Amino acid sequence: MKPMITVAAILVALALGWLLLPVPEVNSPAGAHADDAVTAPPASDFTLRAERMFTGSKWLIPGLVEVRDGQISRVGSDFEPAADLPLLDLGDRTLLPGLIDAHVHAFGTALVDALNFGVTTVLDQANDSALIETLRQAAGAQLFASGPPATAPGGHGTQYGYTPPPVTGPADAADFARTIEEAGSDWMKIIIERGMGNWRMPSLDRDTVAALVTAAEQVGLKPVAHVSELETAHWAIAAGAHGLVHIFADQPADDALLALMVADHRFIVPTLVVMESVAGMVGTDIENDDRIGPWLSAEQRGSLAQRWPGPRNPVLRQRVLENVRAMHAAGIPILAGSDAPNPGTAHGLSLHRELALLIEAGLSTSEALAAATALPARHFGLDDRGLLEPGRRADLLVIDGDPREDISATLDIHAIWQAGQPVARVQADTVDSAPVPAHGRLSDFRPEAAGAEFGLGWEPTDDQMAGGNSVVEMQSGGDENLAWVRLRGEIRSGFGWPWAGAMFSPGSTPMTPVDLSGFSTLHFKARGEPAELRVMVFSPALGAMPATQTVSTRSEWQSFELKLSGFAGADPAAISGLVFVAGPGLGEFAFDLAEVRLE
Amino acid sequence: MNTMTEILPRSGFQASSRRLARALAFETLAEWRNLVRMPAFSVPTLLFPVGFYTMFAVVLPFANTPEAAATLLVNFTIFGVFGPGLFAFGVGLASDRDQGWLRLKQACPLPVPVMMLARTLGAMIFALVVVVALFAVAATLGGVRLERGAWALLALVGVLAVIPASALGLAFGAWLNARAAMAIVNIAYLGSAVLSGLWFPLQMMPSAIQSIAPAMPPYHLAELGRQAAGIEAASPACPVFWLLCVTILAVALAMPGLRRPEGKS
Repeated sequence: MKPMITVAAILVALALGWLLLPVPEVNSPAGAHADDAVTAPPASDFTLRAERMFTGSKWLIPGLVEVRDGQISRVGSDFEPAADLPLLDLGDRTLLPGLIDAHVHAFGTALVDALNFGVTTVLDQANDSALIETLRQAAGAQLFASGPPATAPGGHGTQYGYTPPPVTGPADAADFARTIEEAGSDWMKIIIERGMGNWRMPSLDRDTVAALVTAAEQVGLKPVAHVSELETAHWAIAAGAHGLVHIFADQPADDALLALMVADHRFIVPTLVVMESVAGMVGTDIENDDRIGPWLSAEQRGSLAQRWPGPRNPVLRQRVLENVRAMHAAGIPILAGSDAPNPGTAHGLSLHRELALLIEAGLSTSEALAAATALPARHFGLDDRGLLEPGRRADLLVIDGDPREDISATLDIHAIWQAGQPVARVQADTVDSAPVPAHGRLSDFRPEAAGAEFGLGWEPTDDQMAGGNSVVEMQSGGDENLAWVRLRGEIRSGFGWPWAGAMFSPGSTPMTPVDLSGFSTLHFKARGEPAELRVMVFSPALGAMPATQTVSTRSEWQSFELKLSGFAGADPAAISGLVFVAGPGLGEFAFDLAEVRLE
Repeated sequence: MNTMTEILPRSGFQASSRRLARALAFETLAEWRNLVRMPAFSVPTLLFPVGFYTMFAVVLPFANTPEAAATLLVNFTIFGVFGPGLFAFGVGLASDRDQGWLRLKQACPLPVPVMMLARTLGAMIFALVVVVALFAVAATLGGVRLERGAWALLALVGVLAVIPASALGLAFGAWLNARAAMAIVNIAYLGSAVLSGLWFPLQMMPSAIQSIAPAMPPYHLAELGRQAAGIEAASPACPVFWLLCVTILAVALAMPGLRRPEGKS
């Protein structure tokens, strides 16, 4: 019996060891949520009544919609509201499905910015897989995405800091399709862009486009195409692409293309708002419209303020409108997309401008609203949204007034719900009014000090917020003469422009701009193994991309002096962050920073 | 062990299942002792996975997210449990034959399948030791946090991984002599581990290696391991089917090799 006892003892020891193994901590918010549910009724169950309602396909006057568990349970004009649900009478307002922007590139605060303007869903048409993964979990508009685009090596789409899987010819198509499908892409974006005029770039050829379309269908992804010419639009449609995600501007659409698109039920996302901006004729007026200004984030202001190079081109603007008019007249489904945050556009806001441009191109108000709700849902397979009908998500937008009289009424946002949950609109961050001390000292790195003399202060920053893998540790140190902060870490591959280092936020909240126009130079001391240290300035005028100056450090302390005017494009009257980072070269780094001040 | 002769049946065919089970238990114990008492086997098979895991997961800061930490544990668990079966059969069987042991055993009344099963079970016990050691490091220094069921499932995957590993070892051991087996099984062991992405993430590998990886059994074991650990949600049917096929194929390949005349070569 002795062996049996030994075996039993071993089994008991194993079981005990198993019980000692650590398990994940339960998130406390989940627990708190459960407690709330006992006392408060779920906010996602209610009935709404509005003077008028557009369901995505038709108008109901008046309109009633019942929401249970975040989903629409009843829709109609005259049903008896359920007695157990709160009834919200919206009065003389218009109830719409939450808007869908069918063409964005989501960076930074994109999703929150979009939701702030009633856009509850965005379709990202080319972005880094890692960033997409991060953004899918983020707050704001819900994101669906093509992931990295299929484009020629060095072609359009390769300049954004990540490398799409290579497509050198038809032979790469199947691999590309499988790679992006495994990376979680919801459809495939194929970029056919040969450039215009003197601006030429490598592009996928016709055979490769055809192979990509076939490969996309084989892995169950819908292929859509970026085109800018009539000829390449023909390539894409002939190959079987489900849609075009820009209108071309080089020539009028010809009958053959229209006939083929109609016959094959192909759609277009013309992105007139970015074409209007390319034509140098940005139509969004933010300064004189109080429905816009107070709600804009720094990033939205930044991208809106940027401009494409080139002169005003009314002919271009007219041609894209005419091409959309011809497609619409032929019966081709038109989907609304902004291509934000390209120069002259902004997440969320620019979709409202797109509606106006679609109407200018001949769509009715109902068709324009469907272009931003039901149609993108249908053509991108989002069967759970886009229409106000039972069983769909309760993504709702309530606006003052009647968009049939003036489409810009969609900017008069009264309320937004996302999956039945009310969305609190965020007031824009304005320039922080807290005074900046005249001494201009940004650092106080004594171990017992907070690290900064004003603002939110210093904190480590790395590219993990953008989906990268770099790491950094911040430590204070010093001797009797000098107090410093030490940044030590490693730049790792994972994000296109990897970085890690320290950031100083001059505002009282993160990324709130502060007026630093009273200063002209940035002084600091730094040391570190012979290395490049990048100093970056964030400013709303620059959008999400900072202005950079680079200095070389040695192992001994050195004083540096950088002119603020050397940070090209940054507005000294609105600076939201100062960043000292290593990268983009990979590898370990360590540098010390001291006596950072403005003069 | 002097009671062995008494309890062993005169003929394997007429043995009662109870007697067979006892024989299996004794043979398993003997195999286990055989493995443990052979430092050339036990030291590297236990120390390599634990040492490498400690280096990658504890010393070097590769595990910067809960998923990454769990993935490292899964990878080195598979690496660790793939060795015992592979070496017990691959090298063990080859040297058994070279030394004439295999012929003696085949002449014993103990049925050959029971003998093989005992060796597999012995390797499983050894695999369990590796798992326990890895889990201890993972839980204390590696910062791995798994659901309680996931720990158990991962251990189960680790123990069952011995089956395909033993089958592959059988195929090597049936055809190679002891010296060649030592070298070739080592190459196969380390090579398949690297090519399966157990040591370095496959995403970091050249695309040629990425496309070879699915042909490696540890690749599929690691997939099962990730599913067991709850890092990856997918159907286990595909890797299980693949591993079954590999097991059957390896045993079929080994059969003619086992029947060939033995002796020192």
